[in-house]
Amino acid sequence: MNSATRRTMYRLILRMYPAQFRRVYGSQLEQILDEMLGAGHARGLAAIPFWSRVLIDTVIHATAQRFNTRRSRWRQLPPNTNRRLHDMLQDVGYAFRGLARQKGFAVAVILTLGLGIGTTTAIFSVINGVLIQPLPYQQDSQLMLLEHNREGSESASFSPIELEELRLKTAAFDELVEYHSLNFTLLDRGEPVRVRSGVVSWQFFQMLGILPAAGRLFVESDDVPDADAVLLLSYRFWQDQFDGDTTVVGQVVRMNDKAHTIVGVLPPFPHYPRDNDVYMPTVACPFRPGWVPRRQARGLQVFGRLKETVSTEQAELDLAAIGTDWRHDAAQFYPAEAGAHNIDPISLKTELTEGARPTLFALLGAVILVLLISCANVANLMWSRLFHRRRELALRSTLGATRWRLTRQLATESTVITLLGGALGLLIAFVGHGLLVDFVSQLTPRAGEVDIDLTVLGFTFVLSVGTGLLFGTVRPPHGRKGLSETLRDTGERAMSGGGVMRHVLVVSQIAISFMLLISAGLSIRSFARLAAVDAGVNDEGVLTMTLAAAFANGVEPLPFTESLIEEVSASPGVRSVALTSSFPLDEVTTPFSNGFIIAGREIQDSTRLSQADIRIVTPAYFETVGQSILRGRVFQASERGAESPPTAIINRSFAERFLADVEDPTGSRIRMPNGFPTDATIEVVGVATDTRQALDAEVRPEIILNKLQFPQAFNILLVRTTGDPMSFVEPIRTIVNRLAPDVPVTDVRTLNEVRSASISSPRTTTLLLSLFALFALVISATGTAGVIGFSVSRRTNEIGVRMALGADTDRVLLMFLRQGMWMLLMGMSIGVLGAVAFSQVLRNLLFGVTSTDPITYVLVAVVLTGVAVAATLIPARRAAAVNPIAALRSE
Amino acid sequence: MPESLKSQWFHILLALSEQDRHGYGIQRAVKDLTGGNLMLWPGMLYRSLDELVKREWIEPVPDPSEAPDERRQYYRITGSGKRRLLVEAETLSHWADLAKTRTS
Repeated sequence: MNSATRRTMYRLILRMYPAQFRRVYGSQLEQILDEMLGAGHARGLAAIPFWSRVLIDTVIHATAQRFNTRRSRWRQLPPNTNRRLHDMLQDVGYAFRGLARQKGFAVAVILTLGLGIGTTTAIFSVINGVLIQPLPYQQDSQLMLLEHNREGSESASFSPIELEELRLKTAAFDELVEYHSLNFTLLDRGEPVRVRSGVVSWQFFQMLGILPAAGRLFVESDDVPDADAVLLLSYRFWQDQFDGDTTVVGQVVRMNDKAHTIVGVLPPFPHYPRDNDVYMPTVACPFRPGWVPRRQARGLQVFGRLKETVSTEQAELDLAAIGTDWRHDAAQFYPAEAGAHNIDPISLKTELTEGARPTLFALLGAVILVLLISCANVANLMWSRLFHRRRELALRSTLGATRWRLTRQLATESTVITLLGGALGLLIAFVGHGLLVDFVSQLTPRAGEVDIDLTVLGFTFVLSVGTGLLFGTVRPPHGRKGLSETLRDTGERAMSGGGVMRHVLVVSQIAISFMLLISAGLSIRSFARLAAVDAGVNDEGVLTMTLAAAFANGVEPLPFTESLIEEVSASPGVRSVALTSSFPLDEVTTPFSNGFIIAGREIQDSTRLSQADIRIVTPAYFETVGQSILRGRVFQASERGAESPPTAIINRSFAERFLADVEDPTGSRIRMPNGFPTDATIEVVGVATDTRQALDAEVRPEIILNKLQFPQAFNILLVRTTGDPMSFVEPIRTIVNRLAPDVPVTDVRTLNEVRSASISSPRTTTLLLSLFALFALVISATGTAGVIGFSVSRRTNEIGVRMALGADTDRVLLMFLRQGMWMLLMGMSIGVLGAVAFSQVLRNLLFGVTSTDPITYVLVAVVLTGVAVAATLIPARRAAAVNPIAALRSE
Repeated sequence: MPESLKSQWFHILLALSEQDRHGYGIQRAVKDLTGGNLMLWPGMLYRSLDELVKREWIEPVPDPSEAPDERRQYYRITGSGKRRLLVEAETLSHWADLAKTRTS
């Protein structure tokens, strides 16, 4: 919640004060709140108690002030106004006293309204911000991401050669720009800083329609060979590292052994594909020149702006033709086994929000149900209260209160309580919204744009408060009966019409609860499956950190690697140490995929190159992550340096998929036709167990190479420790700083945290759905108990008669149990249909569970039945305990 | 003997007897004076200030600082405010003495 919305909200709250008071003190009240917020009273979770106190304080003192103001004004007013004001004040006072007497009722209504309004508003605000609002780019619907449909790395799609050809051959786009991202080390800022750098064509930001916040964007002359190296800072990086200092433009920083001039600062906007700290033009990337001659060096993502006259379909056809040409003219680079090699334009907006879409829709469905059940509950509560007060109302009516006067009093009471509920809803919406934004930022880069949506807030507010007012004011049919009749009435004949309505409400509550319970049940089961997946590693006690080395040519000197491992291994408590290019479960750095050939079966059709994931590790890697060797051996000490014959270890999937016909896969030989990381033939010396890159991912065939033979500088340090891994961070940092002062240590996490973070989004979704379901269950239980309790008191007489005529308590219990079970069955039947429909929305979020999982349905039915039986029996036992004599006498 | 002052009024007068303050300044001063036991939330604070102004025990004054912030309204204790505070102090000390004599 930003400070503008906060201020708007506080102004709304302040409207509770009389206008006269607000004129004098309004701005001071706003000012003091600003100062209190500035002093950090409401930071983080403290926001909840803080805003509750502010709200309570305002309600109390505004009410008191209104009384004061009114009282002093009365004397000057014409008698009639005086009278009306007096009545109103009396009503408000009466309402407060009534609520204070029935705290349970008040709390129930306020909580129900608050949760219904708050959760719906918070979730819908997120959906509006992420899925509905246009992107903050110019003509966002014309912006496309080109996707090259093939196996391998998910993000990068095209090589520089391919981009050149696309530019030449397609006429569908005004502009085609490239993007890739790397981590570099920025020097000259005290400590070396690891920065995420987007490398882009010079037109990139012009194409998005972004204007610089300071300085300028890239121009064409920045992106030609031998141009001076220039940098654009992201807004956040500028704020964090340079304190938003505008004189930063023109400053020079050192990166990749080159001086870069900062030419401008970008405005805040959602970064895609990832949140970069700085941007540089393509010529500044030290790796890209190596890609230029290689058609398969597909390290780039390509974005384009569709010409205004060109439809998406035309662009698709255009690109499809190019794809066909490629497969035809350069078949060896487009092996059919590695995918269809179609080129598809994908709307940037879809791409930006795709990750969040299924989760948000599931949550939206759930909160709509929560809102409905809240309204049903408020209606039910209001109505039952009216019923309990029918005699009081009738009495006041006989004593001279007009019908209008009574209705107005009911309206005042309903307004007071529903407004309190609405205020709680506001609070929940604002707090919940803040928490949700953090959650959604894991799913989409648009989370930063999300703001509370006042339209939805208004809508839910009017709907819930309106329900409360309607059901709290419009008297059910008994109200129209003769006064004397109502006064005499003991209840039996009193509420036939209202009774049916309340049954309908409870049946719908049970149906909604069933749906929410199913969705919670499915996602709990799915989450349990996901969390139980064996990733093939031992994640206890392993520390991971990235060493962002900046060595010449991207090659790490062997002495550095070896002394680093040696020194870290020598630290007390360290069991094993490895450097690796990637490790299982990591979502940030995934292994790269490469085509290979198994020696001795040179295939005629070179388009059918098989693909495997490549990892480059030091020998102790297997021990460190807890991956066992099934056959053969790990790398030996003698295998080091470029001269030794290269060796590899494959995983089980690789052996089963590509070497199933060989009795012993060790001794097989592999070659990489694209020469990366070597042209030489590599000998397989061992077979390791499978690992997973993500818990919900398939195991992929893997070739693991020896880093001591291929000294590429992709460095993640893994340390298996005894005791708390985090306590090793500082000693290791000291060693790294001593050996290589320019190398920053970043992304320090335990393997356990990596695993936990990889499932944090399903965990939050499951938690939210479970909370909603629990809320619904409680409402259904109280609803059922309320209706049964109502029947019990209505039929006390009848029970008395039945018992006097010989019915035993079991029969009486059964009578009410039947009524409860009837509502349950009705509700569940509707609920099953609803749940089957609703679980379709959840389908894409589920792992290892079908959306119609019978076990979940049975369990939910059992739970709901149990709760309903309990909710029925509690009031029914009261009926069974009726003393027939007393019951008959109460007539 | 006069009726004793509401505790929040007493503390506001006490805070202003030291120096002129604005709303937030009063809130902080009272919080410090009472060791955090009395937090004057905005509604209570400004309604009390309103009452005190009506009784002419305090009065609004311009921001005395060098860079006046027009949103900050400063308050000053008046002569009659000081007299009322003094009366209250004497009352309190009367009760305090009585309590001490009886418990010693």
